[in-house]
Amino acid sequence: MPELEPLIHPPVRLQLMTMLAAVSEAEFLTLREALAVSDSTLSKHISALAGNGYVASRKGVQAGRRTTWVSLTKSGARALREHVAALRSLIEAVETAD
Amino acid sequence: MENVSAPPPNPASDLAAAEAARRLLTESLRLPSWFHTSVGVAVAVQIAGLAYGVAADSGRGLVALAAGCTIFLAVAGLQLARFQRLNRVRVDGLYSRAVMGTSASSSLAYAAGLGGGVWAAIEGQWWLTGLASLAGGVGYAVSGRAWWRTYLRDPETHARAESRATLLVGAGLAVVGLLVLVALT
Repeated sequence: MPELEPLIHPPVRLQLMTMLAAVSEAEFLTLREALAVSDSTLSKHISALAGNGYVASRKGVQAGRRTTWVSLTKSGARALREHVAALRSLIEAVETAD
Repeated sequence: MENVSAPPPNPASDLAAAEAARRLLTESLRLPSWFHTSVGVAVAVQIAGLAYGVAADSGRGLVALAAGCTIFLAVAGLQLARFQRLNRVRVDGLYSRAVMGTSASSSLAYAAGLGGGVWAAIEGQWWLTGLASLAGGVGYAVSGRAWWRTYLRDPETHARAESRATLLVGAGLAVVGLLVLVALT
């Protein structure tokens, strides 16, 4: 039975990790715009996830400006898969109970 | 601050929002102009250069071979840089499968084009070398386009490139194949 990962509970973190699963790496700015959050909010979420080894970030240069690239790690991808499976089980259980 | 220890109150809407965010990202991705066409043309030039290089077996042949590879790498590098600048994301699957040709259909198109091109060059049928190179390039471009559509349908499965071990094995096989071709001529 897959288990929920409390670190991915906040919707913004779930959205962030789901987006990162669709690419190899994304720029901080791209993620911030897609999630419609502030720089500091996104930084906090990334730090929390990076602290657990779920995402990795690196500094880079894109079109002459400094930027941060964020990617999902293998353990992050695994945690996301399990969390999503647990969410689906939960939804199914609720629907069955109804 | 959000409570991260309590179970999600509304898992269905959380999941729907996450999937919508992923869709928003992938649906906004754009390929640079002439992406597949330029890669296909570069592959055709590379195949022609390689076929001529193998058949000519001379200094000029080596120059043609090196020029073909250089043109392909330059076009591939340029288009990938444009993709990254345009979308501000990196998709390794696009790099390896659609551009470097590691998907089964791209590899097949390339191998068929190269095989036909080299054979025709050895036989001195240069028009056929051109035709085989063109066919290889077109097949490569069509395979790349098909891969891109597959990726957009299921980005999570297709975003990543092959493992380094797989790429090393592929590169090793390509080198062995080239050596066999040179030895046979």
